[in-house]
Amino acid sequence: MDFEKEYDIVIAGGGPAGLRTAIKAAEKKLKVLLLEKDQEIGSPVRCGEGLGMGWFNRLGIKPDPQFAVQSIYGAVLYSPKGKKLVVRFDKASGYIIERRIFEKFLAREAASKGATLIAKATVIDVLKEGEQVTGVKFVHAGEEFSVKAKVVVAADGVESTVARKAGLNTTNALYNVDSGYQYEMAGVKFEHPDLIALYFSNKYANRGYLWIFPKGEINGKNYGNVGVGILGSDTKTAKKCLDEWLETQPELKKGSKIIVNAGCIPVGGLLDKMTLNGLIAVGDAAHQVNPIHGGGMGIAMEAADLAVEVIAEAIEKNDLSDEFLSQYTKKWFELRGNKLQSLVKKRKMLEAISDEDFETIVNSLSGEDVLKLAGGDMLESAKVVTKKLMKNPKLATILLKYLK
Amino acid sequence: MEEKRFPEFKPELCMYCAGCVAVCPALALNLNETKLELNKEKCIKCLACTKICPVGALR
Repeated sequence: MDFEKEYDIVIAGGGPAGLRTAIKAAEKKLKVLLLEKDQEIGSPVRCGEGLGMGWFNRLGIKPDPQFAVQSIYGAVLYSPKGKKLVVRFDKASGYIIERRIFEKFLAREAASKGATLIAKATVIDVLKEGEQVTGVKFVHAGEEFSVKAKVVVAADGVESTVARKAGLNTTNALYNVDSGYQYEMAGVKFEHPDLIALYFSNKYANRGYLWIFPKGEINGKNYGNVGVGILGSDTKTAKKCLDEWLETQPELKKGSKIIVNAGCIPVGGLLDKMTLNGLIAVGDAAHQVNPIHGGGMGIAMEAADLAVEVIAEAIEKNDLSDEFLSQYTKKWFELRGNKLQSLVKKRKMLEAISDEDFETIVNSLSGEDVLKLAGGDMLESAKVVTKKLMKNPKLATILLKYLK
Repeated sequence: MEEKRFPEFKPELCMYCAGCVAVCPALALNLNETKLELNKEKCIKCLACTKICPVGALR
């Protein structure tokens, strides 16, 4: 097989985190090898496939219609009893993407810029000299290879085996993981084909939510992802939750299930330590996920950019120590981690809300209110809350219950 | 008290999503594409893998 014995960066994992690392490192003329364990980059998908417009802009990614298949104009939120709140923006707020195709785009871009990528290449061990990670051992099509690296990037997803084999503790506590299950359904009618639909229910989605992420329309029928994420320690399986809920949705359950996906999402438990001597963890492997909605693609790619900046400097200064590389962790918390940490607290508050109280809250809000609250403008948010509290004193009791 | 036992694996249900690997505190599970292996010497019988599994393939 045509690859070298030594690289600047060896990346374990060809998802958004690993592929973005490969692109950015290749742009800096670093020698990069990316190893993907599956036989195809982009598959299987373990994802709802929604990506907000802010990420396209921030990351400088052009939403090519080949992968950015459906523009999304906002969200419709359903309460446990089925009351709905429509939050619609004037402009598209994001896209549902075909990740299979998106990741192929990233892989081709990385290769075109000089990175070497190999599918069906599983990292089975980490090479070490003393405390320094110096490369990996991998199996490609039954044959074993060793390759040296100045820095190993562990971008191997939620299971994060490479980082853990190297000695970085990235184990997820059950409480901090959501268990997810999803069908891509086709031949159905979605009520709102240009909005994401989120269904809240402690019965069918303990702590999490059910979702419909529409992907498009053919012959007057819609298709898209229909899934659920629930608290990892729940004894009921995510599959059972989704199947039981579908039974309550007469229109949806008529649809065909053309893809079945399962996956787990690290929704909290941010890591204080994301580096070792010669190793950096990026993406799900480093628990870099929004703890409220479980989205991680944008966050992972942003972290990859930061990782490459730090690695390039480490190589230039010939300092591959944990101490130097840990600047990545520090910078990431300043850029993103601290914001996510505050969301963990908000999530804990939200997950304590009972279905009954949720109903009261939803009944006293309009879609416009949610827009103002979600918009993040403190003054607007305060106005909305104050107005609502004056109208509905019961809401104040509920808010006090969860805020304490 | 919960019984101390190894998880039971039903390969016909497994989606190979690796959620079990992610929560295993003992690094006792190994997933290679479509093969999940349990290292019984490392397993501490906590059964975290049976709770996280989205499809009940580990129970």
